[in-house]
Amino acid sequence: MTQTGISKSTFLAVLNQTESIEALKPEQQDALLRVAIAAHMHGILANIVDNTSSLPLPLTRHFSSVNTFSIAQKAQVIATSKLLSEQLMSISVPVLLLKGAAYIAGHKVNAKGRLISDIDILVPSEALTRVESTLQKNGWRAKPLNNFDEKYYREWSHELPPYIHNETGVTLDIHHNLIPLSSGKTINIAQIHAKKVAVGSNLYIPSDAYLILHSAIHLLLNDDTQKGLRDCFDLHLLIQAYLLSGSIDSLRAIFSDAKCDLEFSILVNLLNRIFNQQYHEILLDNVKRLSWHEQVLVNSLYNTIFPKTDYLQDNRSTLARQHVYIHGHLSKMPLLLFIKHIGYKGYRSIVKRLLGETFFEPSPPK
Amino acid sequence: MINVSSGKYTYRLRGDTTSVEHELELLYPDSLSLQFSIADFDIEIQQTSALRTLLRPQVTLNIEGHKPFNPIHPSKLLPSIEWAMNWCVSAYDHSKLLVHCSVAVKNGKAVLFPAKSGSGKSTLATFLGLNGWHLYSDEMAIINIDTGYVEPVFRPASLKNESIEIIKPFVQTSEQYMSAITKGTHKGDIAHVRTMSKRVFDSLEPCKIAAVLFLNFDKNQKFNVYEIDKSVGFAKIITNGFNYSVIGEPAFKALVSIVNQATILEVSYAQMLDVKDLITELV
Repeated sequence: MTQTGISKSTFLAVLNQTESIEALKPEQQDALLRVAIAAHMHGILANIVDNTSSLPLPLTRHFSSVNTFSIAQKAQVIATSKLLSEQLMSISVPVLLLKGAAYIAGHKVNAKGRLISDIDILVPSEALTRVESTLQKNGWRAKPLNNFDEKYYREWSHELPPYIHNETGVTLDIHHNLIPLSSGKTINIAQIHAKKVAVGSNLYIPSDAYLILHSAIHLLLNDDTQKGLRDCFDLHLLIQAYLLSGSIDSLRAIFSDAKCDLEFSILVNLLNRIFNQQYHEILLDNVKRLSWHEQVLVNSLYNTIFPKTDYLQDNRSTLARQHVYIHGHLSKMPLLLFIKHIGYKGYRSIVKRLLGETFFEPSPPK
Repeated sequence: MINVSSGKYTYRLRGDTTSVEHELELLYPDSLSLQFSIADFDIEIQQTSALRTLLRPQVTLNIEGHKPFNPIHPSKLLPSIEWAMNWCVSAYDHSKLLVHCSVAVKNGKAVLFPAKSGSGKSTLATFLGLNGWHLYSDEMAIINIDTGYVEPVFRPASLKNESIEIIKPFVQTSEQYMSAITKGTHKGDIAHVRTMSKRVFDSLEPCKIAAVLFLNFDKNQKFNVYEIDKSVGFAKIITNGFNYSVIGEPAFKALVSIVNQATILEVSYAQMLDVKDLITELV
């Protein structure tokens, strides 16, 4: 098979609506669909296309199906959020939605067709024990983890191990901070709570600036970038919308308060590299200039945000992925902890490479 | 790379397909292609690790970036490919209402056997498919939400363990074929059965659902038939739905009209012939 795939620039052009799917060759249309599914972006793509009926049947069918799925998922997010807000109202804890659930509940520009894998909420750290016991009484149970992962969550992370609802199977991530405790950075959580926006009874989302900050932190301090392009597209749309009514200075101030000036600059450079939109020029004039090794990091990030798939051209990114992995971890934890973490994860990674990815998973019941 | 067409969906198989090519040719006559076409689903057969290419080899199926199944020895690939093809439809196609059941058709009328795996639904439906009925699917009913009609797919049935020997004597004509047995999968021994030729499949049309049967198989019991309440039948069909809650209201409406027009029965049986006689009266 001569596997031509699709270039990153063509994929991005379709996403930016400067290129139409109809104009692509069949091989590119096929690759576009494969890349979009791998990037968790086929729902977003389906929303961009005005008229799917002129497209080949596999694309039409996927787009119409993912539209149906995304509408159902939105209904589930709204219903689950309402349920959570009622359950935590009984212990006087406000429910602050984060990420995908917040975009959906707040009807943000990037919510159209955006799929989510779990619901994230932020609760005050002093309320964590009460929140956990209330959820356990209301049909939620903590996902069983191995000892290392349990310790990681409880001691170093900014969130609890995930909870799963017994009946609906919805996964819930309970955050008490936006940044890992081990990173040395702290975000003023009280400010996030003070500036939150009500979207229902006892139900809130962060202000637009904090939504952007959180999404950026998640992207830049994360070692898993399979959904990186989707996250960048979120940030692109959110910042573009923010600048219609808010100022660059107010956005920069939010990043500054969190000691994330460098991250803001890296983000702006990265978004410019990917989407190259006019508003980036004004932003670039207003952020710290990057040193050469920071430019290299932007380059590495650019090479890792695209999903791993054979259908994307020029997608050999092992070195870049390692660079981003190490950077993501070093930003989250001090060097000594990183060495300990990498020792454990590295050992498992080598075993997996030799004996297969599922080596550590329990055998299925016979 | 091989493209497999089920008449409704195109699956692209990538990676090392040598161990399954022969069986695929026999199970999917006139339905394989090496030419490029836009695929509904992309399934890649991947080696799990470098070391394992030499020692205790393992392969895993990467479906559009997901790996929903445990890795397997390359010799056990065929059933996994069949399961992956089912998984693709149930995970990605929400344009149709999908119900976990086998579907047998005669005189343009369909009978559905909703059930989880291991209930004998595939054995019975394959038996029917080899004895004057058309097997529309042994795994899921693909229902058009607007018309309520069930649509056929050109896919073989999958039989497990003792079902294989039960069905073997009925595979008789050149239009029918039973694959070699794959031994020792996590579901036991598996064989696949093609019940018709591609030419016959091409003549099939979507059709109305005349009856829904909930089956209880036990070789020591008498043949018993109960008509069940429409609302109970409705609820039981939903528990076998793959995407009922995803589609929501349109699925509810489609199912209401299906349940209202169909005969809904609970059937305890020991002999497949008894069920065949019963449903022949219903269509």
